[in-house]
Amino acid sequence: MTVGQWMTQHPGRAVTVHREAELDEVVERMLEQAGVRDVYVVAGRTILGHISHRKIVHLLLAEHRREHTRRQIMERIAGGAAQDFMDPHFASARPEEELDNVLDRMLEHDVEDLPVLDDHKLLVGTIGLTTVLQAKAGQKL
Amino acid sequence: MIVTLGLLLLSGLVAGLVASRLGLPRVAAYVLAGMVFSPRLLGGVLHVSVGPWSEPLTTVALGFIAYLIGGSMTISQVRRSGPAILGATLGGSLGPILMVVATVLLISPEIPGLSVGQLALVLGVIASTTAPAATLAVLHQCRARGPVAKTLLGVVALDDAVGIVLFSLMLVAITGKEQGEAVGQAVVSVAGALLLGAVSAQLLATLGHRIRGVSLRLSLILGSILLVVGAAEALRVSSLLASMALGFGARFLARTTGDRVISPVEDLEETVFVVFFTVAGAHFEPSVFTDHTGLIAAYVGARLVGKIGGAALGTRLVGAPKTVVRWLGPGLIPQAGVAVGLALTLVHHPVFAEASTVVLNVVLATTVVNELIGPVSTRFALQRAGEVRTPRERV
Repeated sequence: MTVGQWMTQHPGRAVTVHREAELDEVVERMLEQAGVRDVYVVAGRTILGHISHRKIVHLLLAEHRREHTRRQIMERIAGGAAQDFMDPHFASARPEEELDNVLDRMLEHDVEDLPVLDDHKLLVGTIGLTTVLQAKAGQKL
Repeated sequence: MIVTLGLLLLSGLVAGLVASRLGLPRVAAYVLAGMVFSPRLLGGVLHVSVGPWSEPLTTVALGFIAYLIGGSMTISQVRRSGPAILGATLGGSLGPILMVVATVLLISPEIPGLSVGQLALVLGVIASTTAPAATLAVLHQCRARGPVAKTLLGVVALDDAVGIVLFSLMLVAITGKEQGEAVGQAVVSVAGALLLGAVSAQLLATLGHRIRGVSLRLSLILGSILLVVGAAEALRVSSLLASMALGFGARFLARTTGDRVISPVEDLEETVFVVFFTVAGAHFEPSVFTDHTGLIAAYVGARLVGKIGGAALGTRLVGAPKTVVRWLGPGLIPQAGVAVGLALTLVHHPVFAEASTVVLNVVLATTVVNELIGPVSTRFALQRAGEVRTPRERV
């Protein structure tokens, strides 16, 4: 099965925020949908980077952590917008790829919601790991 | 060598764990563990010594710390951190340098092999560094929140970078002058280090982008640091500056929040500090403590006054809130790993051959004192600034 065929059967939408969004807004967007663990920073339909659930938790609850690296201290005090926290190197898939190959990528990068990009690198949907798991459990895959 | 290093690391670790349980600073425990193996104590009996092997070890270890410091920040983060933090970092770094230099010149201690001016400069620059871990521990205990706490965090994240840059420049100036080199050669040494770091950073960023596994990136980063430190030594340029430029450049060129080229090695920092403290402790020379008590006391006092005064002046000049101007300085007293690491690099330096034992033991003693009084001072400053939160406020 290709990614495109999977998306037709299981349409998924990525949680996105604008590059200038503050951390509070990023958190709000992430919490709007239960189980969302990946937020993508966009300009229009172009994805600029990825912010993981773990990264958001670390930023938000930084003062509860006893030990910080110097890098984490700078992150904590400098603040900034979504584009300052995102990782510009993120995993993605293309509609014509085989789903099995993409699943390996999701597991390797520890991503729950993998963005699917078209030929122009514009966002067309996502593959949710939980949905894949549900399908596997129901032997529908 | 291998047995000695193992002994130092393990005894330091155990001593640190015991100290933590007792609520004492781990740094002091590491130093004490190292002291046990100094030639005047158990080291002499067991024939355990910190020989020439410690030179490459401490040089690489400090290069590693410089890499982490360089990679801990970006230009935009420094810009966003605000004028209060930048003003306090500059004031809090320059204040103790000026005060320690002036005080050492005033008391003019006689140290064989080193002029008073050189000693003043070395101790002054080392005095500018702080200890992020100790400061963070107090902030965490107090659940402190407010402008003083935030500025304090920013300063301890940045001022070691200032300290390392100034130390490298000071070292280039002193050793260059001693060896009859012209100012131009000193400039070449600094520029060469930056160039070496930048070129290596490009290679590291490019390879880091292609390597996916964290364990492979660890090898890549450690290999790059070793290569840069070794090349810097061979080219006679500053290995500290080159390593810092490597960290800063790699993060910038890899366009990353640090996950790819910095975080794989961050967990090793504490291990490096254990090596610094225990190896430094093994150089323990009791006669320095008895012969130079005045110098040790003068250093601690001058650094204290310099930190408080410098931070106050720096924050006042940039228009920081009154509470920051007044209470930031006392929060900056802790001093630890970087100071000892810088002093350790002098041990095998030909220019400091005779004087390094004195300098290292003075820094060791003052570090232990500052680690004891520093957290108390930081807590006091946060309390007076009204930023310590009660359990009810800690949501």
